[in-house]
Amino acid sequence: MPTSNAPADHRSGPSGSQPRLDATDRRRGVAAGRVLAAGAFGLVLAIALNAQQLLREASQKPFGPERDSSVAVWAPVESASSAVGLHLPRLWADEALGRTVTDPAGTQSASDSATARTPASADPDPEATGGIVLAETGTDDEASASPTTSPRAATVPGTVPEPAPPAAPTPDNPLRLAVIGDSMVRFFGDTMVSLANQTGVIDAMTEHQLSSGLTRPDFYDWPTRIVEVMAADDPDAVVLMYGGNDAQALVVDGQIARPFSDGWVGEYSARVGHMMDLVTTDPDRILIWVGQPIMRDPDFDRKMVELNEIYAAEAGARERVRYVDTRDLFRGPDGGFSRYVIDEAGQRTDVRLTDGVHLSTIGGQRLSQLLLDHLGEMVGLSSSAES
Amino acid sequence: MLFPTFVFGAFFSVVFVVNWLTRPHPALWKPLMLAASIVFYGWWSWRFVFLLLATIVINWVVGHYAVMSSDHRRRWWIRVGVAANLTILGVFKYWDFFAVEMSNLLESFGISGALPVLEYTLPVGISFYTFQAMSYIIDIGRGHIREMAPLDFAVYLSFFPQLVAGPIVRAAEMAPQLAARPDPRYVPAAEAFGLILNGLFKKVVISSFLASEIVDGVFADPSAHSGLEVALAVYAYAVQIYADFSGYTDIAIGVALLLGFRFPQNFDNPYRALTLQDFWRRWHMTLSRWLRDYLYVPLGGNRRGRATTYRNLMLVMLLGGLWHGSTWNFVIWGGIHGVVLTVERLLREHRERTGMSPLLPSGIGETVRWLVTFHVVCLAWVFFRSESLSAAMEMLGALANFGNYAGTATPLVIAVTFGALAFQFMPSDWFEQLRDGFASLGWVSQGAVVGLSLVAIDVLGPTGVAPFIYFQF
Repeated sequence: MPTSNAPADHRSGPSGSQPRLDATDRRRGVAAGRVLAAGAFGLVLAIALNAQQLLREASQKPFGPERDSSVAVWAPVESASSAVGLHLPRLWADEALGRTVTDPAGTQSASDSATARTPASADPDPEATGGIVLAETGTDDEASASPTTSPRAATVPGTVPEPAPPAAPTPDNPLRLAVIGDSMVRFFGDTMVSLANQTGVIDAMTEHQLSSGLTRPDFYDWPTRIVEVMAADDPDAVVLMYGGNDAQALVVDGQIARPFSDGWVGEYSARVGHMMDLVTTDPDRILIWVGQPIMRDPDFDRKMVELNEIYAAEAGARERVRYVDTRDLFRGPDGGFSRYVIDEAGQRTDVRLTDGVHLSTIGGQRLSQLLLDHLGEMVGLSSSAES
Repeated sequence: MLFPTFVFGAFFSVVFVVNWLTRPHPALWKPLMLAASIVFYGWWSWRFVFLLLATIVINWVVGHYAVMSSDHRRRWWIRVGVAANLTILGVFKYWDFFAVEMSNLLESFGISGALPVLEYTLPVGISFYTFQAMSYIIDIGRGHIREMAPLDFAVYLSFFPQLVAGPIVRAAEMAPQLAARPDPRYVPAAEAFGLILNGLFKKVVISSFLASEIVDGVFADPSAHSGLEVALAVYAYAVQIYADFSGYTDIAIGVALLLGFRFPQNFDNPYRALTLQDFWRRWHMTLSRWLRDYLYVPLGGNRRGRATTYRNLMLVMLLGGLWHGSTWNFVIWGGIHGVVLTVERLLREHRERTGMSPLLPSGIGETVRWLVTFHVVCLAWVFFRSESLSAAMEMLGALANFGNYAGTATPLVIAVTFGALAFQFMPSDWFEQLRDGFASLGWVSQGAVVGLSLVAIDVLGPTGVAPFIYFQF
């Protein structure tokens, strides 16, 4: 334990138990007005050089008044900056670092998952919210309105029978598996890859993009990316999980559709179906679509239930696509949300993160095992191979 | 509100102007600064603003009655105050851990009837401001400080630069500065801008880069990586958590300087320490001071014999571990530090008793001591970073992995990790030289340096703004 204050990182000022501004600071100090001038000039310069990026981030926010006002602020700044070429240094720097530079208005998305920029305002990552309930940031203001009943939700899932299973994989001919999605996949993708690879007959990979989903291709274009992954890796089986960021407005025919309005449900269902079709274009490929687990925030949970109904309906209308419900897997002892579930040994186990949304390591293991069980059924893996 | 965001830049620009305009008028300045801090804190969750305000009210009232009471009654009030703060911490931070562990223990004996879990969201910064509040009432009880006026105390406890992740500033350090009238003609801007930019670079570039490029992936699935990658990920995490936490501290101290306040330092190149005791003089210095003055010394410190000293060291480090979070991993982290601190003390005392000379020449001896200390710290970090005990053990087991090279040990990752460690051994005057060079510039040039640095940090940083690791504590 310390017995005195040693000289510390990067300072030569007074140390001791009662730090305060002293004569040394007075000698080195400058007038507050000058500090303000230097700071303001620095900020203005940084804004001018970075205006394209600021406009891009503003345009990627959830549709609504905050986005509109942000875009209204940054659009003229970006125009002025670009007019005099102040945007070029940033552009050159991004190009030098190999980053894909997108349209600042946000109408096109980056295709490189490693370089797409993340809008903090829509980030469901618990870390990006400082540990605060993620549901508050994962949804926008409009989404807080009560969702209307989805016409698709009435569709009975599972109306299309699954085809006969393909030949069972072997160590010499392993099943190629891709686990893909949003930040939920971040918390179980690696675990599932590890468990899958331990079977000896599965060769798995995973990819995720924080804050992404299917409502905002201007932020991250998953349809384009999924085509790239299918072409590059040619997996035999795919696990997809989206939805945590999707309870927000989207654009239909140039108009903004409120979450869970009829137009919204129709468009979102079409996008889900399109993703399923992109994956299963190859007749030898199967797809597992993972439903959203039960959530802590009741309003957010209701929205996830609505989304799950869409996923189930779209999966049920297609061959080689199975929807896997995960709500029961994460119910607490009283049947509702809980961070803790009772395991086989009767012990309480922490399966969720403190944000009430994402999965803990143990939660990720439970979900991975459930998905591998389903995969085993679909491709004829023996239970011993699965475990 | 996160420091490395445009929102905070806009917020602080307004606060800076209001601060210097109203500072000569305390009756105006104090409520405005309190309001600014509430806006800053409420940006995360307005619900927990009420908890912060309740903590302010409870601690001020307890401190007030302690001052007004006789000696005997004063001790009683101090106990009430400490108990109130520990209750707040216990409810929000520790109850679920206790309930789950107790329920599981009872279940293993065949006794059903689980204790209820509360599942509250952890309020950001609760461990920091409750520790500050406790230091206030304990120091009042000891007669070390005078009672603060209610508004002064509210401004102190909620002061936004240090509210959510420290440094842990004591009332004795803030009260005189609140009473002072800093001269707006002498703002230590060069030091402040230097600290802010340095902190942003450490957080946005170094910490985020290492987290995304190697640490997160390897800790998520160590079995898929080679032993060398796992070892590199542990070293990288040591750098990441230092860059993250000390980066926040730098920004906090710089922001406070711009408002006319000087905070105590929190870091002093901790990875150049040659002993663990030395490490704790350099790492999170305000927490170790707090634990020393309000826990170690009251327990008897090193004044009651060797056995009691060792017990006190272990207790302080175990509780220091629990301060970070309610998991066994944090307890083990503290336990490792406690055990090694105890062993160090035993060896030192033995050497002093026997007059034993060092076994190795000083240069080699120092290198060995540094290597041992650094690797003990890294071993403890594995438990600190891992989500569970089994995950930590898996990580340690994976150090023996042969093959499985996953390609995470890129030349850039290696360069950043070891470059950052080597930087700890740089002569300590590099910052002063940069600061003095910056101070000699005109305001336009200074602004250009600030603006270009901000853009460079944004360009070099990976996507998004990750939160500071210590927010969760």
